[in-house]
Amino acid sequence: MKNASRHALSFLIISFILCFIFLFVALYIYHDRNLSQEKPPQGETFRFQRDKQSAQTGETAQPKNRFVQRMRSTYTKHWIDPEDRDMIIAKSGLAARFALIHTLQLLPTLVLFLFVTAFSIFFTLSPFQSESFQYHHVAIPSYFTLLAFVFLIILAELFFIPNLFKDSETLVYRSRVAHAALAEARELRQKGELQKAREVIEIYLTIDEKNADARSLHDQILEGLYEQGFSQRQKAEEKEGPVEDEFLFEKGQEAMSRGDFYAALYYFQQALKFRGDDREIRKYIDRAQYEVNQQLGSLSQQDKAVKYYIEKKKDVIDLIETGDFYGAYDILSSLRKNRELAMHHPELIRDVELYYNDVKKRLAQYDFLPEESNSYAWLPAFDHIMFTDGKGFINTVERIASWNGQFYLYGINRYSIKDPRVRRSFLYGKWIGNRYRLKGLEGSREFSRDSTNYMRVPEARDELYFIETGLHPGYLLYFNASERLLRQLTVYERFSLYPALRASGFDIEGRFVYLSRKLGSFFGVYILALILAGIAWSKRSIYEFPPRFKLLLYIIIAPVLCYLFHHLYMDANSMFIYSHRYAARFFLKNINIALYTGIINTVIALFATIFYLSQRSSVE
Amino acid sequence: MKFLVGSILKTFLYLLILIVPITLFITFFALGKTGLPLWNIGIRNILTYARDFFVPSVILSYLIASLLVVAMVDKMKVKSLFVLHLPSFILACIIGAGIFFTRSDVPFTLPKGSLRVGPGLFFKEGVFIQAGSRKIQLVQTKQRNPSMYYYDINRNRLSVIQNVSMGKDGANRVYTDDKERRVVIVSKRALSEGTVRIPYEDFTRSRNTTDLQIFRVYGTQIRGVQRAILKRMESLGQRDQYIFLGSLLLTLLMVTIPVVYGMNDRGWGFSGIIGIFLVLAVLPFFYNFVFRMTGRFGTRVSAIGRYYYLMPALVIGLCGIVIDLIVAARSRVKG
Repeated sequence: MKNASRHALSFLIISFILCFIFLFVALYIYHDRNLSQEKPPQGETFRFQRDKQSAQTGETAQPKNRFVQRMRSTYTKHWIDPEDRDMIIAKSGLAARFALIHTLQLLPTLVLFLFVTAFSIFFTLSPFQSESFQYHHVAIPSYFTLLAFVFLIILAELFFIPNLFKDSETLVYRSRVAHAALAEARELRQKGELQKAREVIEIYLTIDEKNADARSLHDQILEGLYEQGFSQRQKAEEKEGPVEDEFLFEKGQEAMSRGDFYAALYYFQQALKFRGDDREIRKYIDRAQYEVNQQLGSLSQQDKAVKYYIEKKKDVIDLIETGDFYGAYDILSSLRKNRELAMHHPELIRDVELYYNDVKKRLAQYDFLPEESNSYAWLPAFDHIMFTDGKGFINTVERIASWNGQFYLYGINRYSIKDPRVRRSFLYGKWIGNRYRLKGLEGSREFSRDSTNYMRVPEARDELYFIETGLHPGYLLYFNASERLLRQLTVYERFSLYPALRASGFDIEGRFVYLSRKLGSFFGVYILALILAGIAWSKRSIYEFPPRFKLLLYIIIAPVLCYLFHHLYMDANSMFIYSHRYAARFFLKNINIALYTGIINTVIALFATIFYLSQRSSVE
Repeated sequence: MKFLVGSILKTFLYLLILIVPITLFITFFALGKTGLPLWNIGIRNILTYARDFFVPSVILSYLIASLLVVAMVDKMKVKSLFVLHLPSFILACIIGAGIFFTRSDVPFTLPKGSLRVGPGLFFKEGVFIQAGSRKIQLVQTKQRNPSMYYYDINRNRLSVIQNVSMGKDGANRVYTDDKERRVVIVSKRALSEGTVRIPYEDFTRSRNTTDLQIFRVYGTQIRGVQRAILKRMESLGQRDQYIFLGSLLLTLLMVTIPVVYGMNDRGWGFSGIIGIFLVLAVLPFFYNFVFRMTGRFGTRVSAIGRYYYLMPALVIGLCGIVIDLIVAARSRVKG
C-alpha cells in the first residue's frame, strides 16, 4: 500500500474515532445538564414536598427566558416527558444512552463532514505532496472506508439505536415505578397498612437499593411490623429461604407419625415432584394412600358428614391429578368456608389449606384475582389505549400498568365490529398465557363471583373473557405514543410485528415503505459523501494550510450543511416514495416500492461514483 | 463584454438547474408548514403550491445561481468589483420584468386556501388516527359506506357512527371545511354533541425536515422579513411598491456579492461555496435587524422626504458599499 493511501486511511479512521468521542462527550454533557436541570438542592424529601406543592398550586417552575423555555420544550418533546425528567433515578446512565443515540443519529453528518474536510483540506497537506501522488491513492481507500462507514450506519439505524431507545424507555419507566412506589409506601405506612407498604417499598429497592430515604423508610416499616407482632417464625422463614424437597419429605413423615395422612399424602406428592420418580417416596405415598382409604372405610355410617368431607378431599386429589384445578378450587373453597368442619374436626381441615394454596398457584397460570390487580393499581400507567383484537372487537383500556413482566389492565370496554350494539365493560384484565384474561364483567350475573374468585370461563364465552391480539402488551403500552414505539423497533421487529400491529389498528407504514426510507438514508450518505468529496477535491486548498478565518467559518458552517444535505436527500427520497403511486399506476405496473426507490437511488449512486472517481490529480 | 455575457449565461444555466429542486424544496417546506399530514396530499395540491410559490422559488434560485457564479469566478479575470455586480443585476432586471408582466397580483402575497383536501387525507382505513384528545378509526363493513369509531379520551367514551358518507350529504357524514381548516364529523344519533369540528392541526403527522429546530428559527426570521415588507407596502401606491421591492432586490445583490466574492479564495475554492451558505444563513437575520432598527430610528431621518420607505434599502445598500470597499481594499493589499 502506498504511503498516501496509508495516511488517508489512518486520517479517516482516527479522525472518525476522535470526532465520535468528542461528539459523544459533548452530547453527554448536554443531556446530563438537561436531565439534571430540575434537580433539587436537597434529597428526596425536598423533591416530594416541592412536587406536592406544585401539584396543589397547579404550577411548575418555568424559566423566565423564552428561548430557554422553547429549547426545553423541544428537548422534552423529543427525548423525555417533562413530568418524567425529575423522577429519573439513574440520570447518568440515561444521559449516556441518550448521548450515544444522538451520536449514532449524527453519524451520517459526521461521515459527510469528514469526507468533505479530508478531500478539501487534509489530503492536500504535506504527507500527500509527493511527485508520485495520484488521486486514486486517496480515492480508493477512502471509497472502501466510506462503504465501512455506511455499513456501520446501517447497523446503528437498524439495530443499535432502537435497542438503545428500548433501554432508555425501560430506565424511564422503572424510575416512574420507583417514584410511585416511594409515594405509595409512604401513604400506606401512614394508613398503617405496613405489610403492603413493605411489599411496595421492596419494589423501590429492587430498582434503587442505594437510596437512603427508601432504605430508612423500609427499616421504619419493618420495625413497625415487628412491633405489630410480625412473628419470629416468619422472620426465620425469610432467613431460611424457600422450602426444599427434603423439608417436604420430612414434613410428610411428621404428618404420618401424627396420623395426619391427608397432609402426609400432600407433602409426599410435592416431594415426588422435586425428586422425580423416587422409590422411597412412592412407598410412602402408597402407605399414606392406604391409610387414607382405611380411614375412609373405618368411618361409621353415622358420621356421614365427615365421610362426605373426606370423599370431597379425595375428589380434590383426583381433580388435581387430572389437571382440573378450577374444579378442585371450587371444592376446596367450599371446604375452607365450612365452619362446622373446622370446629369439630380440625385435623381434617389442615391439609385443605395446603391443597388450596397449591391449586391457587396452579390457577394463577390461567387466571387472576382482582385483589392482585388492586394491589398494583398504584403503578404508573399508560392511559387510554385503543386497539382491535383478533376476535373482531375494538377495545378501549383506561389504564395499563406493568411490573416485572406482569401487565394489568383497568377499565376495559369492548365493542363488537360485527354488531355495534354489543358492548361489554370489564373492571380488570391481566396478560396471562399470551392473551388477556378479563374479569369483572359489569352488569352480568357472574359479576360478583367472577370478580372475587377464580372462575372457569365456559368455552362459549371464551371470546368475551379473553382478548387475543398476537401482540405482546409491551408494545401495546405505546399505542398512544406511536413515535415512541416506532423508534424502539429494530428492523426485525418492524418486519415481524407489522401484521399484528396493523391488525391492532396501529398506524405503521408498510414494510417496504420503511425499507425504502432506510435505503434513502443509507444511499444518501453514500451519494452525498462521494459528490461532496468530489466537489471538495475539485475546489481543494492548494495552500499548505487554508486561511484561518475562512477555515473557522468552514468549521462552523460545514457540519450544519452536511446535516441539512442529508435531511434534504431523505426528503428527496420521500418524494421518490410518493411518486411510486403514480409510477406504479401509469408506467411501471405494480412495481415494488422498495425496488422502485432502490433503482432510483442506485442510478444516482452510479453517477455519484463516476463523478467521484473521475476527479483528477492535477490542480485546475 | 465577454466576461459579462459569459457570467450571465452561466448564471442562467445554474438558474435552470436549480429551479426545479429549489421549487420542490420550497413547496415541500410550505406544505410541511400547513400542519397537514402529507402522505396523501395529491399531485394537484403539490402543483398548486408549486405555482403559488413560483416567484419566491425563482428569486431564491436566481440568488443562489448568481452567488455560485461569484463564488467560483476566477479572480484573475475580474477587473473591477463593480463589474461583477452587473451580470446578476442584468439578469435580475430580466427576471423582474418577467414577473412584472406575467403576474397581476402583488409579489410576496400568497393566495390563501388554495389547497383542497378531503377526509381521505386524514383517515386511513383500519387504523386509529389520533386527533388531539380523540382517536378515530374507519372500518369498512358489509355496508356500502364504512363505520367510524370515535373515541373521546377525556370522556372515555366510544361512539360508533355507522354508514358514514364522505361528503356533505347524508345523516352521518365526514367532510373538510377548508376555510376554517377543520374536519367536520356529523351524526346526530351517535354523537352526543351532534357535530364535531376537529382542527387540521390536531391530526398527528410524521415529522419531516421542516420540523428541525434550525428551520424553525430560520423560518421565523423569513416570516419576520415577509411581514415587515408587506406591512411597509400596505401604505404605498403601486409605483412606490415597485420602487420599494426593486430597491430591496438591488440591495440583496449589493450585500451578498461582495461577501461571497470575499470568501472566494484563489487558493481554496471550496471556501467560496461555504460563503454562499454563510450569506444565505445570515441574510434573513440581517434584514430583520435592519427593518427593526429602521422602524425604530428611521422616522427621525427626514432628508429622503416622501421616499422614507427606502430607508432600509439605503442602510443595507450602504452596508453593501462598505463591504465592497473592504473587499476591494484587501484585494489591493494582497495584490
